Amino acid sequence: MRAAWRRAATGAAVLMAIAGAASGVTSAAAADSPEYGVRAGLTGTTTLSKGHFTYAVAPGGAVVHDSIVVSNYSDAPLTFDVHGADMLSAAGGGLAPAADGAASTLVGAWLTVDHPTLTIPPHGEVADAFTLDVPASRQPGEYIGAVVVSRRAPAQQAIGVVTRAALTVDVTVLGTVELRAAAGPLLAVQQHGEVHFTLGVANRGNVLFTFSGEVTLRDGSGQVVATVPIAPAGVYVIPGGQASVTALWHGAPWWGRVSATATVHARLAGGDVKTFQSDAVQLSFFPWSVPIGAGAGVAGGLAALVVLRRRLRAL
Amino acid sequence: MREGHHIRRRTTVSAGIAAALAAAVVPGHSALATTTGSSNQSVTATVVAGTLTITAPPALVTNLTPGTANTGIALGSLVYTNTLNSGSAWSVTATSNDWAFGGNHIAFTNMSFTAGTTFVGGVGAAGTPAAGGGGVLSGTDTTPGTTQSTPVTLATGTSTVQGGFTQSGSTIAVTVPGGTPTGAYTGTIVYTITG
Repeated sequence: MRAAWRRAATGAAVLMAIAGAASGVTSAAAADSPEYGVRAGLTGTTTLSKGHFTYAVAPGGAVVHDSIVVSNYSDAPLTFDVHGADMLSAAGGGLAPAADGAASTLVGAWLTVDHPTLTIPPHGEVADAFTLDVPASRQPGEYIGAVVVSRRAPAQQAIGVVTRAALTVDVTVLGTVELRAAAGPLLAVQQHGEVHFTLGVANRGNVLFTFSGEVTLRDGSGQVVATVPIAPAGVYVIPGGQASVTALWHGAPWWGRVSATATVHARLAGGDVKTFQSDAVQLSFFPWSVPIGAGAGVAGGLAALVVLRRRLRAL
Repeated sequence: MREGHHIRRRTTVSAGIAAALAAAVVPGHSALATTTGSSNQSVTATVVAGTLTITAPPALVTNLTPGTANTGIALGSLVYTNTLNSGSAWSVTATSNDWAFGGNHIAFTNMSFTAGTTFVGGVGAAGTPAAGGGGVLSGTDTTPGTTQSTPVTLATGTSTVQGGFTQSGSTIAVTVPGGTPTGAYTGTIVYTITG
């Protein structure tokens, strides 16, 4: 009888309370408004709309600099852990970065953030720069990892809940590097003594590059009359992607013909640079307002004379 | 005389109108006034950068019976947003470590997640995520009580599925081995959105 009671008691006693909420785990509650969010640092500031953390790099090692922005949407300061991680396949069909603290051997090991811990004030946001240092020994192939932002959970004595938001980092180490860009078309609009240039730059190779450049203006004898830089400088373009940049030439002449050519210096993360040129655009300058105004004046005068003559004949 | 004065004045006015019309075609000298009653409002609307967010359900509070599977423990609603429009598919996953009480553990290999199948899209959401396959947690438990399991999938979205979503109905099952001591076990469930 006593043994039977003990077995029953044991069965009942091992009801385990898995407590949590009482210990102050904030875990966001299930509110509809999020506490925080992440995005790529250059989102919205370049012409690149997608694939911000997609890097195709040359073999032999490469260093890429970028950043992740963490936003605090809440009314209280929040603290986050930020780090790189290798990507894992998740049972059931998805992908997820390796757990915080797990040893990384690939992208997670190559990625170093400037600030592993961030405390962000209410309704503030912080850009955390990171460096991706791809080892020279790495064989050609695609390597997937992530930049992970973990909402730091307060110390607790319960089943805590932690959230993480991770942006995928896709690194392709190329077997054969093809650095190739297409510069153009170069479009020009003349306005009030200035010429506004717009230049498309496409990545026709298989490796990510950044670029700078300039528009060179030459007169009929081939003499350089001006060189204007394109802006913004340092834009990066992924393979298959394109960017649009501008240049502004102040002080265009009233009279004459000028040839404009854009030059783009595409630079690999490894340091190699190649130069590409657009087709030349011919610009003609003529003070059209003078003859137009004079012609209009003459036409107006003639019209007035005709009207006057008719009226006088009618008298 | 009086009539001649009128004609001269009309002639002068006509010549003036002609001159004004002529001036109107000279760039920068618009002399024609509109008489319509409409006006235009210039609009510049900037679509700001998207974001990736996740909001966890409340902490888990439940009772577990040893020697049974303890299935269908509701995890609560998981709320997440992907408006990055990054061109990539995305995932929502979960992991857990062992739940510990003193020196006792309930191994994460005794736990399994089932993804909820009810999705409610927020305002402006495009498409609907698909429920993930969930599954039994696995992995090498190098530091029991600390090491997180490998992830299981609660939801996936294609690149065109964008917006805010609430996923409900997810559950966890925890098989508590017979003989597990009574106590308040602690652990951590980690929810991750990867975009």
